[in-house]
Amino acid sequence: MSAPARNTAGAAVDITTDMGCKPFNEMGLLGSSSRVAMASWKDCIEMLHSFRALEDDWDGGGALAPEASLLDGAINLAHSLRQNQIIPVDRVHVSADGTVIFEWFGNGRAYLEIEVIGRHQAEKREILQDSSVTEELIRIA
Amino acid sequence: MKLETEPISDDEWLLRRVHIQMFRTDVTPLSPNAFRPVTKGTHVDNAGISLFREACQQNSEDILRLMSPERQADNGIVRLRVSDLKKIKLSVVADPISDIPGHVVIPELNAQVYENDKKSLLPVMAQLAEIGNDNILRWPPNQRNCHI
Repeated sequence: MSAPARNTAGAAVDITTDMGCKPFNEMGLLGSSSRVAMASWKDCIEMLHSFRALEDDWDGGGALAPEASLLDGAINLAHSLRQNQIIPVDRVHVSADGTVIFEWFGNGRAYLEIEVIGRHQAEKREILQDSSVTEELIRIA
Repeated sequence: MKLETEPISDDEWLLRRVHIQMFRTDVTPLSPNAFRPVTKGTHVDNAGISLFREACQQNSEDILRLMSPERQADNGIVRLRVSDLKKIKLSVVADPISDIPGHVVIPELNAQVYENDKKSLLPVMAQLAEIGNDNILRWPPNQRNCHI
């Protein structure tokens, strides 16, 4: 598996210090009064806690259940995003690989996802309005 | 009804099972991750993501029959036309399985390619989600219980 793109300094991004709110702001997801959040961070965090009850094959198709440490990372990330006043996630779900994915849908085809792949690691991928795609590694404190 | 040995024509519809977590809601479109290759576990998409030819089914919901009724209620079905897949440079290949007729895969969306280049496949997955979003055949019966 290839390593996700890093930031210009070549280091993983620390969600609590380095990431800031710029990517979300570019998508119109930060402090946008015209956009209706699909759910609150409280709902999201409750859902993340509910994922602890999942067992392997939770989807009927052989999906893996997320590991407890990965869910800890996802919950910490949600708290960090809320503290950074990022607009609540549109959807949060578990992938069939047992990772947790946060999704935001922007205007047009704009889309942003953060996939939590471990207790301290996540990958952010974003489709911009011009259809280009960015990717970076996020370190979850 | 077609036999699965018959060629796959461009006007055929393909069916994709989508879990309630990734399904379209009143406020959220279908997730691009509904078309993400599985890379871990017992059902890795080595040959590509799975779909079923509608023309080979007696009833479209037959593609859920290997699941328990409880799991079936958590899954919906979207359909995609073969010609629409070809427009975005995807192909469809027959991949017969014993349990359900008409199993096919999209080889360009396989586990190894996804692991090596998630960035390139994401826009393709998003395009499939956009097509599937307008072609929902079955909503997950448990959808009303989904809050996010």
